[in-house]
This record gives sequence, C-alpha cells and structure tokens, in this order.
Amino acid sequence: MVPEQHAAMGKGAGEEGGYAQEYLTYTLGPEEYAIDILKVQEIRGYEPPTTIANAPRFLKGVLNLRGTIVPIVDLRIKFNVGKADYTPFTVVIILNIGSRVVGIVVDSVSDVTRLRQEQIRPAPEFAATVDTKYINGLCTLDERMLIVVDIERLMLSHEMALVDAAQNA
Amino acid sequence: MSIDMSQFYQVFFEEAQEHLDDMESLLLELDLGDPDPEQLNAIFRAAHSIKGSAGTFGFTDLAEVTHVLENLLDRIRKGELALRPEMIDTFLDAGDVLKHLLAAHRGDGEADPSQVAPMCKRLSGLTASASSPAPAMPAEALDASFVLDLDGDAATKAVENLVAELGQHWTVEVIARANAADDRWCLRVAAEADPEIVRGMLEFVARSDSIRIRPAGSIATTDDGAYGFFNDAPAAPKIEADESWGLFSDEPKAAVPPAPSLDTAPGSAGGITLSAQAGSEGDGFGFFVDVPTPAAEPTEMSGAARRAAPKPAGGGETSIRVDVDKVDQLINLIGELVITQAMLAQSASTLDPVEFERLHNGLAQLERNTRDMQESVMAIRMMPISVVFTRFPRVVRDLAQKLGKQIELKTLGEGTELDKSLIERISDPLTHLVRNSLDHGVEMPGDRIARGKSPVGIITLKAYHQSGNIVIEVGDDGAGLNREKILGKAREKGLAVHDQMTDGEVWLLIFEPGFSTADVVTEVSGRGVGMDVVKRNISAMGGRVEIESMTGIGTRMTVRLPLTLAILDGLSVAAGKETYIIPLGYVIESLQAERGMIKSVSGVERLVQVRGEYLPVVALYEVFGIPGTITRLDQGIMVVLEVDGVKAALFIDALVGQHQVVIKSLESNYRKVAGISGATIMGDGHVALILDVAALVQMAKSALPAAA
Repeated sequence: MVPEQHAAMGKGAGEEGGYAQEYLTYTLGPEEYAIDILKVQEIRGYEPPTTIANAPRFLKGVLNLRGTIVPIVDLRIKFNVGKADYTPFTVVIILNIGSRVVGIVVDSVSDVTRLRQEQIRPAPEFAATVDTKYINGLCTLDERMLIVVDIERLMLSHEMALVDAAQNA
Repeated sequence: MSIDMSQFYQVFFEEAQEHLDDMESLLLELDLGDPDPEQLNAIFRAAHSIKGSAGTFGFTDLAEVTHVLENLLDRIRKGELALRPEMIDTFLDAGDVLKHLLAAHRGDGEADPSQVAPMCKRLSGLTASASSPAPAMPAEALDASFVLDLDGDAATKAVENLVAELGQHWTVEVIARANAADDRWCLRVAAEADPEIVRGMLEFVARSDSIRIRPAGSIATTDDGAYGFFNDAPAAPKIEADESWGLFSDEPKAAVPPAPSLDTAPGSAGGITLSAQAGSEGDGFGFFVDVPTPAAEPTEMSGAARRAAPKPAGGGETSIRVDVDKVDQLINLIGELVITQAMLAQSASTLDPVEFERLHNGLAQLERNTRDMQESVMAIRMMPISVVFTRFPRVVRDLAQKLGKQIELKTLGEGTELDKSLIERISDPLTHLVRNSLDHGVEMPGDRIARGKSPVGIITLKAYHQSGNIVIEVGDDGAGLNREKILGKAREKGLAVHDQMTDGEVWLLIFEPGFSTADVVTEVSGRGVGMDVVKRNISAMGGRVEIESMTGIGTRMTVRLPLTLAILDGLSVAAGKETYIIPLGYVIESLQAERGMIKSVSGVERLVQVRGEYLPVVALYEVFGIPGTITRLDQGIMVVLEVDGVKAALFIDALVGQHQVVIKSLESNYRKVAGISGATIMGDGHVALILDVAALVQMAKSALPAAA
C-alpha cells in the first residue's frame, strides 16, 4: 500500500540479469492479472461512488479522490468474471494513465512481482473477453498463470468508453 | 557556465509579448499630427526593453530588428524625424515580424529568418527617405593624455616604446610632449581604438590617476586653445592640482551617470576635476560643461539622461507576475478548505448549541473567513476584458484597409472583469465575430452613402455584467442579415427550414457548419468555417450567442458567458439516493404541484400549469434512469427553469439546500456526459453532479412533440 516505494523500486532493472520490471498482480474471480506497477498510483478500499446517468454498467461512477473526480470501473463486470459484490475486502486500484486518473475495482490485490521480459510469453490467439490486443503476454509463476495486461491501452480503448471519442482520435 | 537559461525564457517571452502588445496599442493610439511625447517615449521604451532582453538571451534575430526599430523610434522621439503614416504601418509590420519570431522561439511554428533582413531594410529605408537632419556621429580619434613618473630621456624612451606598442594596433601620433611647464603627454590614437585597451597599455608606464582618454573631436574643434589648457592650466602649481583631484574625487561622482562622455574615463576622478576647471575657463569643452551644470541645455548627448529618467516612473507598477498554475492551485486548495469547513459545520450541527457555543461561534467565523478568502482568491483570476478588446483596433484597421471600408471601432465597458481562462478563450471567437461584422455587416462606403448613412461604418464592442453573467456585444450599423438569403442557403444545404421560422431561429442558422451567405469567398471570410466554431467554443465555455438583426440598420451578436468557470451558485436537489446541483442562475422557482396543475397530453402527464403557463415536465429519474425515486408528479418537487427564454419544469424528489460549489471537470479524467456539465464535492466528501440545464430543457423541448 505504499505505491511510491514500489514505483521507486520498479525503476531499477533486475539484478539477476535481463531487463526486469515490477508488476502488481490482482485477481478477478479465478484469474490473475499483472499490470505495470509504474501505472499504479495507490490502492484503496471500495466505497460507493456517485453513479453517472446512462453510463455503461461497468462504470460504477465517480469518486472524490482528494479533490479530483475519478471514474471507477468495475473490471469484474466489464470482463464478466467473478461476482461483482462489494465486501470490505473489495479493492480499488487507482491508476495513472497518461494525464488521467482512473480507478479499477478488482477482487483482491495479490502482490508485487519482478518479471523479466523473457518470462513473459506471447499470448496465443484466443477468444477472450479481454481482447488479446490488450494482453502483453502470459507468465507462469509457481504454477500460477499471470495475464500481463497493457492497462494503459485497455483503459484508453474505445470499448472502455472512458475517453471522449474526439479526444481519442 | 552551465546556468540553465531556459528557465528565464518563459519570463522573457511573456514580457516581450507584453511589450509588443503595448507597442502596438500605443502605435494605434498615436496622433500623427501631434504625437504625444510620452507615448513616443513609451513605444521607444517597449522596443528598447525587448532589444535588451532579446540580446541577453541570445535571440539575435529579435534583437536585430528591435535595434533598428529602436534607433528609428529614438530619432522620432527626439524630433529628428517627423512621424509619417507609412512609418506606423511599417512599425506595426515590424511588430508582427517580432511576434512571429517570438512565437517561433517559443516553439509555436517555424522561424522565418528571411523576414529579418527585409524588415530591417524597410525600417532603415524610412530613415533614408526622410530628410535626415541628424548628422552621423563622426568617427573621432581618441586623445590620451597622461603624466609619466619618469623624466627626460627615460620618459621619451618610454613614450616611444608605447607608441610602437600601440602602433601595432592603431595609428598613433604624439601631439603634446612633456616640457618644463607641463609634464603631460598627449597621444592621438585612431578612432577604432578601444579606450580600455589603450588605458591598459598606458597604465604600464603612466601614473594611472593621471590618464584620461576622450574623443579628440571636442579638443580638435577648440584648436590650440584647448591644448593651451594643458600648457597653461598647470601654471597653477602642480601640487595644488594633485590636491584638487583628491578633493573632487568624491563630490562629482553623483554627476557621473548622466554624462556619457565619461564612459571612457570611469573612475578617473582627475578627468572630472579638470573638466570642471575647463568649464570655468571657457566654452572649449562643451562636452564637459554638462557635468557640473545640471541645467545644461538638452544636447544630443543628454538624450541618454532623458532616456534613463522616465524608467523609474514606469517601474512604479504595483503588480507581480505569477504563474497561472499557482493561482489555480490556490483556488483548488481554497475549494478544499471550503469543503472541509462545510464538513465541520455539518458534524457540529448535531452538537448542543448551548454547550458548544464557542465551537459554533468559531465555526461561524471560519465560514465567513473561508468565504471571504475564496472571493479574494477568485478575484486574482479576474482580468478586465480590455485585455481582449485592445487587439481589435489593429484587427479592424488592417481588415478595413484590406476591404476598402471605413470603420470606426467603439469599445465600451473595457473595465468589465472576467476570469482569466475565459479571457484567453473568448479572444478567438470574438475576433471571428468582429471580422464577420466587418466583412459581411458593414457595407462599402459607396453603398452606405447611397443608403443615406455615413460612409464610416461603426462597429461597437460592449461588455457588461448582467445577473452573474458577462455579456459581450459585437454590433455593427451595417445592412443586417438577409432572411431570404439565409433561408435559401439553408434549403440548398438541405437543412430543415420553413418560412414560418422566427427571425431568431433563422439567424441561428448562420452558426450551422459550412454555412456562408457570402457570394464570393474572400481571404477574410466566406468559407463558412468559423461561425460554427465560434458557437462551439462559446458553448464549451458555458456561454451562448444570440443574434439580433434589422435590415438596413445593423446586426448585434450577443455573447453571454459565466463570470468564472471555477465556482457556481447551485441548488442541490435529491433524486433517489443521488444529489444533483442545479446552477442557481437558471432556477426561477420551485413548487410542489397539485393534482389539478398536472395536465396530460395523449394520456401522458407531460405538462404542469404554473401561473397560467403550461410548462413541459422533465422528470430527472426518467432522463437519468435513477431507481427508487418518487414517480408521482404531485408528490415530488417541480423546479421551474429557464434557458434562452424557454421554460421547463424539472421534476425531482426534494430540495436539499443552496451551496456555492467548486466546479470540477468530469472530462479531465472521464468524458462528457449528456445532461451533466460537471461535478463538485459536497460537504460530506461525496461527489455531486452538476446538471446541464440547457441540455435538459432541450430534452423537454424535443420530447414534447413526440408526446403530443
């Protein structure tokens, strides 16, 4: 829960040789995802946001994050994994995507892992709710499969509808 | 030497921009027949400041142009050149070139170095073509006089060496030798010699306090008399002269700065002393007489003193330059403070007022202070609209010239203040409106005379405050809009129009994309790009445009803008579990409808009768799909809203209160949402959305015919 430290560590290359980057892993239902830790601003508990009229169902609303209005996206609803219930353990990851701040709701945050580039295998083409173009690759870590997601591309994508079409173009 | 200059560049850019703007407006104000010397001075100072700082920062192209400009202005200022109309034009063009260069250095656009030389040439051409009474400063040789510590042959030898040494660089001749009466030597060195170097060389052999170097001209004109000084003056005992140097060395210092001639002898007290003596002796040293006599006639050289004098007066401004980001940060912080204060007030409201009297008093004071503070901080961002208006005289002048029209521009209410961010953003749309008025509105002088109008068209720019808005009007006394032509064009474009449309509706058609009634596409307008952009820009600022027009009398476009984008008086209302903010400016009244007031059309309850008017009902729960609200129209609250003269009733659950809210953008992290203009943070830390009333009323308007 101290993102600044993570961020600082993440900058260094892996000591074990090869270019390593730090990833934050989180779970959505049974699946485990990894995102670049440098995109993570902070992690906080879920609190009900202010709903926005006529927004897609996965957009839970907007939240006041110390004076900034931050949209909150429930990835479980978006990708249709797990049950979208909100417990005291439900976690919101606040991301810095370009100049924007966006929050994503996930089931839980597991840990921070250091992954070398060669550990990440290209993902096979498959039909998934997460379009493979937003998946950087797959990574096996002690029997677990991590899905490495290009979170920036995903959040700015057209289907997330977080950005005005005009601004996106 | 690794000072990062780039951090100062921004300051330079801003200052230079400001100076250029000043210069332009001053040039436009200038009365050709009888130019105000103060204005000329101000223009000169502006050019001078740009030149100085451009040189410092190494923007040589800027410095080059301003240098020529400055010289020319200096001569006009001194009355050596008469001001002519083409000079103003050239100066304005030079200003444009400078602006262009400045923009290029800033990183916007490409620098075009080829502009510099022709502009310099054009500027210098102005001098050449004028009958130039000012003679070029003649290149003068330097006379260096000094006293040697040596005597006789040794001295002669030393001087010979010196002459040989100097002779390697410049031509040198000995014009006075030390003799029994005077131990001074005098050398004449060619004009291009650097006095400092000459001095440096002399210091090897001569007594450093005795060296003085000055242009030969002054001495030469006085002929022998001047040299006579050297021969005669020391007739007074030498020792005494030495003493007098000591005596005068402090006193005349005060007089040093205004005398440019002393540049060559800094710190040489002896030089000053002697010149004082020379002054008392005769007129031969007209140069030096200025120094001890403050009431000297304004000679050519004293211009430098005059130039320096007005500067401190200009520096008396009591404003500071602050980065807008810093002000914005302050505003955000104050916004947070207001929220915190509201939170505290909310929690304290549950406490017993008697027991916690002091706490309540303190909180009341805190509320007052935060409110005052908020207002003061908001006022920092407020700027007079004159910042925008000042650019129009130029726009109008250039365009009128190009179109062959005669235009008089009138501006009213320049002091009207509005938020800086709005000032920046209103400037382009306003320019478009003015150009449009000029091009399409005002007729050619011939047509105007034929219609019995004065050949000079009048364009009026007017700004004023009206109920929390700033209103800016662009009016002309031209031909007015042509209803038939606009309708015809609209049909051609396939827009849905009919003859029964009101004038107001017809006029608004000109804001449609690609709409132009100009018969010929000109450089100025007629491409139909522009008016729709104007409308869009103004709407984006939360403002709107209205057009009034009368055939043959003129057209008036009215732009209404909120005073600030950052804060808003709002009515908070509840619908279901959500709280929404309605900008108070749109609210007329709120009421609880009775059964009888609600009228249905085609079986759908769509209208409410308020004071004899039937108003369409917009149910917020329907528009936004909010669950768990009151759905029976006679149980909730109707808020009557008015936008652009159209009224509608917004149906909500309950009124919550009235607040001043800090507007936060939804778009900075999310996107635009239909029916929502922004968000704010309530006292409890929750986000409340601000309703876009204009859009909601529009919904009511479009929904009505469907129901009917």
